[in-house]
Amino acid sequence: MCTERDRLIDYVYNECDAGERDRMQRHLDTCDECRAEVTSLRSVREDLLAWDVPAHESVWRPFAPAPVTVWWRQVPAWAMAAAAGLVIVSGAAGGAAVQAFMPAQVIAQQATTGNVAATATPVTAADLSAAEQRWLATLREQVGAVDARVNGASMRTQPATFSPDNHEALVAELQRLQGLNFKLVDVINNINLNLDGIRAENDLKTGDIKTQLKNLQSLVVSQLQLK
Amino acid sequence: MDCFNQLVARWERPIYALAYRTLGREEDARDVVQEAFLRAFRGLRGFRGDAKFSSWLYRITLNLCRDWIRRERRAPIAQMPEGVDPIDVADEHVSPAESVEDLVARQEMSSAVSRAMAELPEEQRMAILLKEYHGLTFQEIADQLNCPLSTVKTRLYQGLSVLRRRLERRQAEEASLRRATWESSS
Repeated sequence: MCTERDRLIDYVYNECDAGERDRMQRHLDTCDECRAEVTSLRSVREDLLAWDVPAHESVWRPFAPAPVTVWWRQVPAWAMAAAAGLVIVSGAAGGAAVQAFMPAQVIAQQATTGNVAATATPVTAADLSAAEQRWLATLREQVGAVDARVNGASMRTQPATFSPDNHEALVAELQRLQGLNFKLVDVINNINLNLDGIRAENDLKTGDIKTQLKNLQSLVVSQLQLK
Repeated sequence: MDCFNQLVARWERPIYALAYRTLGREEDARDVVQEAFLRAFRGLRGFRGDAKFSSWLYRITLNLCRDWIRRERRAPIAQMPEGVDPIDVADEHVSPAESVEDLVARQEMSSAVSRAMAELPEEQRMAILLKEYHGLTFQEIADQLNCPLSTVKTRLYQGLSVLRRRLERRQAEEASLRRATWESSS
C-alpha cells in the first residue's frame, strides 16, 4: 500500500495548503494506486449527494408575543402611589395654608395699591370673607389643574402610540408623569413663597393698625380731657 | 425572542436534515429538532459568544441524537416505508428537467445510500454526515465529536471506503437482477 494514502483524505476534501496540494498532485501523476483511490472516493461522495431529506413542515412554533395588558398596569405600584400621594399632599398643604393665612390676602391686595403705609383703612368681616373666597378659588384652580392632568394621565386608556412591548413609550410616559410631579412641587413652592410674603405684609399692617389705634386712643383721651 | 425565532428559521432546515439522516425516521427527527431548539432557547444565556451559534446547535442536536439512539437501542432506520412504491414517489416529485426514469434512479440511490449509512458505525456515520452534508472542517468535526483531528480523518476514510464497497456491491446485484429479468423475458 502506498505510504501517501493517509494524506489522500486532505486532498479529496481540499483541506491542505497549496504546497501540499501541489505535492500530492505530482504524486498522483506517478501513483496509479492513489489515483484510483481518489477517483473512487470522489465517486462515493457523488453517490452521497443522492440522499434526500423528505420535505417537511416546520417543527418549530414561533414564540407568541407577550399578552397585551393595559399600560398603566405595567407602571410600578410605587410610582403610582407616589404620584397619588403627591397630589393629596399638595391639596392638603394648599388647603391648610389657605385656612391659616387667608386674612392676610386682603392686606396684601391693599399693599399693591400703594396706600397701605399712608392711610390704613379699617378691615371689616365682610372684606375678610370675600378675600378668603377669592384665595380659595385661586388655589383650587391651580391645584385642580395639576390634579386633572395627573388624573387624566392615570385614568386614560392606552395611548395610540403606546404598545406593551415598546419600552421607549413606557419610559416616556413615566418621564411625563415625573414632569407633572415636578410641576406639583413647583405649585407648592409658589404657595409657600406667597405665604411668606403675606406674613411679612401682615406683620407690617398689624403694626400700622396698632399705631392707628394708639393715635385714635390718644385723640379720644385728649378730647375727653378738653371736655 | 423574535431574534431567536429568526435563528430557528435560519437553522431549522439543516438541523432537521442532520437529525433525519442520523436517526432515519421523520417523527424521531421532528422530536429531536424540537427538543434541540428548546434546549438552545433555555441555554441561550449560557451560550458563549466565542463559538458559532450553528456549531453550538449542531452539538446539541448530535448529543440528542446519540441519546435517542442509545435510549431506543436501535440502529437508524433507512428504508422506504412499507407499501410505498418509488415510482409513485417519483410521480409526485418529478420536475420538467428530470425524466421519471432519472428520478426513480435517484430515489433508489437515495434509499441505497441511507441504508448503507445506517449500517455504518455511529462514529463514522457522524463524521460523514457533518462533512458531506453540513460542510464542517475536520477541526470543527473534531470539536463536535470530541476526538482528535487524526481520528476524524480516519473515521471519514474508513466510512467512505465501507460505503463504496457496499454501494458497488449493490450496483452489481442490481445489474445482475436486470440481466436475469431481461433473459427471462426474452
